[in-house]
Amino acid sequence: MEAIHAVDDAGTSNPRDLAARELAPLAATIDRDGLYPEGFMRTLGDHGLYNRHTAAGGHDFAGAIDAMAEVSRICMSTGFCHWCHDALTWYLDNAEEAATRDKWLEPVASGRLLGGTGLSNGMKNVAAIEELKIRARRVDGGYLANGTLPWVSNLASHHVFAAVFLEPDSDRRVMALIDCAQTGFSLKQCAEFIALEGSGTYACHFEDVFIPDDQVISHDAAAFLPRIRAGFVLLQMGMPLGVIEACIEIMEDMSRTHAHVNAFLDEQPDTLRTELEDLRGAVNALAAEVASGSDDRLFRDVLQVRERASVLSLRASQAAMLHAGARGYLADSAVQRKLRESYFVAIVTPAIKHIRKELARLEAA
Amino acid sequence: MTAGKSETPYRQYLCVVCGYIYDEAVGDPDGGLAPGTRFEDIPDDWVCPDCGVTKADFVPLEEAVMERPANARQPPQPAENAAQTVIIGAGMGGWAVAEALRRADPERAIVMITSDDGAFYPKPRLSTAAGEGLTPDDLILNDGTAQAARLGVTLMAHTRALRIDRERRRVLTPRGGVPYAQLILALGATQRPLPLPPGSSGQPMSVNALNDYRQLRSTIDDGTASVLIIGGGLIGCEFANDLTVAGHEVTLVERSDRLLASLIPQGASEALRSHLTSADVRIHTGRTIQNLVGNTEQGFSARLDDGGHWQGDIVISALGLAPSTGLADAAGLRTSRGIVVDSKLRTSDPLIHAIGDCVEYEGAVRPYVRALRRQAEIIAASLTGGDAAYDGTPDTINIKTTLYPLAVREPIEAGEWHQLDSDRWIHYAGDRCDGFALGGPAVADSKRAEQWLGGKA
Repeated sequence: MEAIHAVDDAGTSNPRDLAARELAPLAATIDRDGLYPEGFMRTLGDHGLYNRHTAAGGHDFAGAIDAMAEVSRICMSTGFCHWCHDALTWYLDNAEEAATRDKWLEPVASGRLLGGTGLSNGMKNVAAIEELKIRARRVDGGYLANGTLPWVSNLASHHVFAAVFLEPDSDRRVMALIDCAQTGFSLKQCAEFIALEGSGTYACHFEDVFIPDDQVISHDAAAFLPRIRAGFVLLQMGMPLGVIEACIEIMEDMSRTHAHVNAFLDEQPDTLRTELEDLRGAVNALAAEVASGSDDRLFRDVLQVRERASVLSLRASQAAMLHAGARGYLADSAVQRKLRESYFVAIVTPAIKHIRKELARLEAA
Repeated sequence: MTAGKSETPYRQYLCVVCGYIYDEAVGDPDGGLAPGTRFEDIPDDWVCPDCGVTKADFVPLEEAVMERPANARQPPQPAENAAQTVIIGAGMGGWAVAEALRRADPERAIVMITSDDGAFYPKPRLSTAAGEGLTPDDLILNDGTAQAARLGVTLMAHTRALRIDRERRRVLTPRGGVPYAQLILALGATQRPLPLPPGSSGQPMSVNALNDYRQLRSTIDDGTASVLIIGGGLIGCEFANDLTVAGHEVTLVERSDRLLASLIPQGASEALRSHLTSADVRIHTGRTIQNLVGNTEQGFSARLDDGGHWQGDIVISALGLAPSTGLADAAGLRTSRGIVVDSKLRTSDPLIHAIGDCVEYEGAVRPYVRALRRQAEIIAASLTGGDAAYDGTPDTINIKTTLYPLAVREPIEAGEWHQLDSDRWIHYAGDRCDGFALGGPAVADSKRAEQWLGGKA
């Protein structure tokens, strides 16, 4: 058996080759048995793929999104884990507390320490959709947190993640890093998911969990979140770009044997490819702006491109099913997996419905 | 279970953490709760089957009720039509070329892409509305939807053009790509940013579009505002005039030694200054801002380079317009100060035209309404097979400082201004007369002056 790392260095950092060689053989097991691909997640870090969009990486958001797209093209559950980790890296890169950045950024950006983002609740809270679910009271040297966050991804008992807490005495929102090994903290696996069972997703229970000050990302998340939100959302574009690409490839592949009937379908791969190219170009244009932009205008643009990507993902996966026919229903078929993955693009925060609510507000302003 | 309880209809409880709904009628048989188990009878060690919290995190279910808002849907994409003409920008230039093109060709498919709502309004009136007692919305002649319908244009409002893909002939937006056969850039211009020394934290506003103007008026309309205007060019002088007429306390700081120095003769600057000063505008020429701190909520304070100090409500930066060339630069079109065009208003890509404040023709940028109207007709002719050409000659500029209005024909070449009387100046380049400036009552003679100048040329 060939050793995984016994490949010459020249080709190894290319995310497409990396995903084809090391992720593709795992994709069906990840989907059907819920395998969390921790080894592959570390491999991405070994090749510097979590460190492209940071200040040290020259804020190369386009490069970060491209790597995530290559992973998502093979397995979007793992692409989602990739995004979780990229998002966490992005928060730490922007942490207001220098001690937090100094202590945590390097291990996370290198992938030695893996982790997720529990920010869905915080982002929805800022958009007036949900109450904050965790309360953290100020104590000497840090905060004491209580409550439950449902469904934080890319987690394991030795991982970390970021979340937003309500400090009830001051009514401030605090954003901090949580170490899953901390006393009083527990991960609970209750529900079973489709499409993303291998994403290391757990309910997070806090019982008097002490969060020291050198884990605080921002003592005032209401001011912090607008600065990082455009990058947070745009990074997600790796998922739809990869899924749409994979769906088009399925259609192109099917046409070799079924062009004579598939030509009667409404959606055709060449039109979808044109729209995918448009989408990629728009993402790359915005990728050059998100590191420094915090205004509503830029966020509106990012939400629009994110919504467009959701709609295109749904169209592309539906089309792939129709082009593939009954073969798409095989339990190990990538086609029905893409269909389930594409719906996740449309429902994960910010879901299509959240985006439209926020756009209605921004466009009325 | 008591009799009284069983008469109560079964209720539902929501898990606030994950959204699971506990229905008393159904119970949670897998979790040991038989159908019909009342919420209060659930033991404390029972946990939510989906996320593991206890019953303490459940609340009685109140169903969300919401009328569907009118803007819940995203606007549909325009149909894919590779033969269409696309206009980027819905300012005066964009609408002028849409109107001229529709007149020249009733059938053509036209798509307009704009980052704002597309409202059609005369922009020069932003600097006279307050003094006339008009609200920002009074200036709108037609909202974007109505103006688009009138001209048979498909409007993509609230949509920013991010890139021009010339190879594939598509404009990339966050809402998808838009194909074009011909593209017209009406990108406008932005106020040049004010370089502030270190230590300054205040961000002055610039008023370049209706949305900025709404923000300005909402800040000052409550009463008498104290306003600092940085820049004594055309826009700075017009705002100083308008806001003092509207009853606000205006201070104007200009870096050079007189107002409108690049446009009008010394004598006209002095006359304008005297009229503005009489209306209580405090004018500091030859001065710069050394330090600016504050914000719109709490007010601003500024220090001048002569040690003078200003404190007030709002700061407007009016340092002059810089053509918006970013999109053209990224597309590899030829730009210099503006987007460089030929006499057909074509850019260095023959499929792409440009109009208005973003345009540079023979080294000159003319960000004035009359220029863009002429340009609109030439683009419409060019796209429909006509052969009209733009000559780039200056038009008369009307400066709407109502306390001392001015009409100016910019000189073409270097030369000297000669004063005819207290309100009239003529510019000579050598022995050739190539410009004029009329002030106050003499503005009424501008048509005659144009004819006279035309006769000389």
